[in-house]
Formats: sequence, structure tokens, C-alpha cells
Amino acid sequence: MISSNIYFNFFLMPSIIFIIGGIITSFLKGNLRTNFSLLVPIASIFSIVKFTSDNVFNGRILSFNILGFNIEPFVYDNITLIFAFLFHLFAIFALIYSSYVKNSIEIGAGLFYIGASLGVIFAGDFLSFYIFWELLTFGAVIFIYLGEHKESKKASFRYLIFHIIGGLVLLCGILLLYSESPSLSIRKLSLNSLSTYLIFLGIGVNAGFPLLHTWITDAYHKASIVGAVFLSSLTTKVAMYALIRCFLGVEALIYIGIVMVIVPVFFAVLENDLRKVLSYSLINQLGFIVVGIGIGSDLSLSGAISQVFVHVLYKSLLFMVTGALLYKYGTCKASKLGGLYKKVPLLTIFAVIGSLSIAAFPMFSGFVAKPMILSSALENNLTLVWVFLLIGSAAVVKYFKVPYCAFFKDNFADNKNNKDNEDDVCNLEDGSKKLPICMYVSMGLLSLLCVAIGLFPNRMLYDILPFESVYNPYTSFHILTQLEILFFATLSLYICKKYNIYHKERDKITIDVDYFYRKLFKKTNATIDKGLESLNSISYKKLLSIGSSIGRGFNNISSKFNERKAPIGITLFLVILFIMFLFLI
Amino acid sequence: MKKFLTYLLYIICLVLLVLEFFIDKSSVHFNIEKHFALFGVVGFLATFFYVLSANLLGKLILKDKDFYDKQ
Repeated sequence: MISSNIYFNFFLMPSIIFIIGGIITSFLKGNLRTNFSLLVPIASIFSIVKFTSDNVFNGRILSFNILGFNIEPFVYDNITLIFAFLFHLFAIFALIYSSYVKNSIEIGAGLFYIGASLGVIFAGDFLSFYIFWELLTFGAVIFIYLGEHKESKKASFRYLIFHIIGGLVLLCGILLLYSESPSLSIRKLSLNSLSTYLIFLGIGVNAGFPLLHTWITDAYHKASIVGAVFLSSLTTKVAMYALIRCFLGVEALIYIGIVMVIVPVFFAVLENDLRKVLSYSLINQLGFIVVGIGIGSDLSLSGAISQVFVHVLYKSLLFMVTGALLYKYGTCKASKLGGLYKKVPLLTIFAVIGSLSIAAFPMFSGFVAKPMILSSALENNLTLVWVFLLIGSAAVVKYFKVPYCAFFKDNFADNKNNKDNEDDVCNLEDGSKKLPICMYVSMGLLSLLCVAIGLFPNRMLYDILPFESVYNPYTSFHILTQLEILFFATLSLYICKKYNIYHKERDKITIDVDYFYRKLFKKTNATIDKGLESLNSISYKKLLSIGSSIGRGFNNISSKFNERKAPIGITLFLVILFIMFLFLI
Repeated sequence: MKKFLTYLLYIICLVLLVLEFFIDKSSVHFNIEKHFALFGVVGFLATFFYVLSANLLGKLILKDKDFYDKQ
């Protein structure tokens, strides 16, 4: 039986606070909306503090039965609380950044999206996990739909289809798992049955596994300015949490992670849209986390969680910077931007801090997180894995693409020798649109946090990790080797540029696996359509001839009926007969 | 300015290599990490690998921006 206290607690859950707050925010306007939206994460933090300080029964706060299923929508441990803290922190920065947005639905969708993310991470059973997992998709789709890209609406539809299929695979896995062992509680699974493979695949869609990643690179750069910030920080991180919960230490994740680390870099080099470059970079960074989860040791898990933490901060910072460029100049294409460091010096500083963080430069946040995963690979005698991760870490070519292409590259000089590109360079003087202060505040705070975590990793990060960390990133050897890898990679890049080996940014697009469903399916569909149409026309002609002969036969009969005026007479006779029968009865 | 930065890059790379001689590697846990200039070589070659592979891959996957709109 569900007591009223449980109802009360249900509506006090952080996820529900965010979801209801999001719906209310959609109807508010102006300052009231901004203030109310900022109150939502604060109220949610209070709710978490209240729940966790209450009488804790093994972290299981809410539990009730519906249709015989034991539902536990609020279960937590240390890892859950780190993710919850991170999402709240992100919520505050993202809401400050987006307070300039006029469309309240966008902000409402953001809160709803964060609420769904919190719902997934606090879920203790697969049923509530699945419900919030699906709600995530709807929050994200709104952001993509509201994008200003000419393909935004189509991309949002593709995103929806992709995630609904992924969700159905997950649901099939959950149902099969329930049929195998009648328990819905979220637990560690091993890849040994169809049900666990399906759950793995379902989570893999949101985690951006190779071949299942195209929704990230198809949709993120087509989302609205604010939308890309939200999208980059939630869905994939929630999937990382799900992997930690269900598939920690599964070996397959190591190999999947390595592919995710290496392959996206090629695409990032070639891609022209800077938000798409960041999307590929995001998959590369997720790869490190997936490897960390796959290794499954205390150090690798600490590394993976730290990496999630810092990644949300620097990736959202970089998406904010590219969003600001899109807002000010109407584009964030590498071929159209360049030399902006004089015009927007603050944005340049933020972009450089974000890039130094992602590159794991000493004193920036990435430096204190990513190397933990590399060390754990060596600790577990996975030398080859370590080599691949090292190659992935050397991707300076992608780390600094945003600041280089947007702020430092001399675009006009670059294009002198490249006549194809002349039309591409937009007149950056036109970018007179002033950036809202809220954008600067949010990016400034995030930049400060990236530096602070890099400088004080113990206080800012390691102390909140679930395991007592003995990792010290600031050894002279580690600093030297990290600088060596980054500077030599830069030297190599400089030589490639000097001898014109490096690919020049042009206004082109890269095709990915999405080619198969966006173009090839279309072609196949068109061919099938053509085939069916010809079959249709043949059968139409045949049927027409058969039909006409049948019709002729009917015509003959009806003409005979017509001649004798039978139908009316017979019908009248039948009616009279029927009435007579009625009287007889 | 460009020349100055180029020389600075050369000098930093050289200094980093020289510093490797003076650093105490006895506390380093894993032998593979102790090889001289390993990280520099990996960084240098990995970037070459990325750039060259991307160039080759670009011939296959770089398309005009209206690629998906064409029938």
C-alpha cells in the first residue's frame, strides 16, 4: 500500500522537482522565469540534503509496489551523489548562460532534461530507470527541434527515432532479464545472456558506442545554442553512470573505448563546423571514460568518475564559447572564422582555458583526471591499451582546433592560396551583435572552476571520490611527460602545416555511418519505390483488363435486370414478404 | 612574432628532452614509461598519423554541404 508520506516524498524527489519546475518555467516570462529557473536546482539540492540526512536505510529512501513490481525511484550511494552534484552544478551554469533566451520552452526543456537525468541516476530499479531514460530523449529532442540549422527539424526526428529504437532494445533486455530472475533492481550484470546484451546495447546507444554514435554528431551541431550545451553534458554522462552501475569491469568496454578514443579524431580533423568538431571530441573523451569503466579497478573507476566530472565542465565551456560565436557571428564554421582574438579577447581566453583543460595541460582540470585512467591501464598490465590511450591523448590536432580556427588563424592569408574558399570567409565586421553578460558570467565561472580543479585536485575533486585516492598528478615526471607529449604533437602539427600536409578547412561536411540511413536507405527506398511503382502499373493494367471484363459481365446482368425492371419489383416483393413474416410472428 | 613563436616551440621541445636526463625515474612504477623521449615520440608520430590518415579518409568522406539534399 502506498502511504501519503510516500506520495509526499515522491514529489520532493529532485527529478520530479526539476520536471515540474521545467513545466512551470515554460509558462513564465522575463526576470520571473530566470529567478524561478535558478530556484529549481537550489530546491532540489535542499531535497537531496533532506533525503540523505534522514534515517538512511542502505541508501534506499523511496520504495513502493505498483502492479507487483517493486519500484525504487530514489536510491543512492557515493557515486550517485557525485553525479547528482555535478548535474546541479552544471544546471546552475547552464541556466545562467541561457538566461538571455527569449523562448521559455527552451529553459523549461532544459530543466525537464536535467530532471530526467537525475531520475535515471537515482533509479534503483530498471522500470523507473527506463521511464526516466525515455524522458531524457524528449527533453533533448526539443532542443534539437528549436535549433536554427536548416536541418534541425529533420535531425530532431532522426534523434527521436534513434533513441526510441535504443530505448526499445533496452526495454526488451529489461523484460528478458525480469523473466530470467524476477528482480528489477539495478545491479551489476555480466555479458552472458541475450537480456544483458540487449541492455548493454540499449545503454550503448546513449553512450555513443562506435557505429551507434551518429546521433551525437548528427544532432548536437544542429541544436539551438543553449541546447548544444545541455545535450553535451547530460545524455552521454547518464549513460556512463549506467555503465558504471551495470557493466563495471566488463572487458568488452576496454576495446569499445579504444575505438572511441582513436577514430573520432580523424573526423574532428576534417570537420569544418566547430560544434561538430566538439561532438567528435566528446566521443573521444567518452572513450577514455569507457576504458576506465571497462578496466574496473578502484583507480580506473576514480579516473572515469573524475573524467566525467571535469569533462562536463570543460566541454560545456567549449560548447558555450562556440555558441557565443554562433550568436555573435551567425556561424561557427572554421572556414568562415579566424583572427577573432582582438575582437573578443575574453572569449579567446575562455576557449584557450577549455582547450588546455581538455588537452590535460598541467594546472588545468583534464590533467588531474585523464592520466588516472592511463595509469590504471599500466597497473593492470594492459600495456597495449595504454599505448592506444597515449596516442589518443596526443590529439592536439583536435584539442586546439576551436581556439586556433576561431581566434588565431589568419583566415584571409590562409585563403589567398585557396581560391575555392574565397566565398566562404564571412565578413566578421558584421558581427556587431553584443554578447549578453550572462554568457560571460557563466563561461567565466566555468573557466575559473577548470583552473581551480587543476590547481587543487585534492580539495576540489579527489576528496569527493568514492575511493580514497592515492593518486598524485603533480610529480615532476608526470608534468614533464605530459608537456613532452603535447609540445611534440604541436611541433608535428606545425611541420604538417608548414609543408601543406594538413587538411585545409573548407565548407564541406564529413559523412559518417549516418550515410547508410540518411542516403543509402533513401536510395534503397527510392529503388524499392520505383520497383513497386512499376509493379503497380503492370498490375493496374492487368487488373484493369480483368476488372473491365468482370465489369462487362456485371453490366450485362444489370442491363438484363434493367430491361425487366426487376430490382424494384423484387425488392418490393421482398419487403412485403418480410412484413408478412413479422405479422405472423 | 610568428618566427619568435616557432623558435620558442623548438626551444621548449629541446629543453623538455634535456630535462628528461635530470629527472629521477627511480620512483616511476612502470618500466615502459622510463624509455627516453617515449612521450615526445608518441606525440609527434601520433599527430603525423592523425593528419595523414585524415587526409586519406577525407578523399572518401568529405562531401559538399548539400550532399544529403541531393537526390
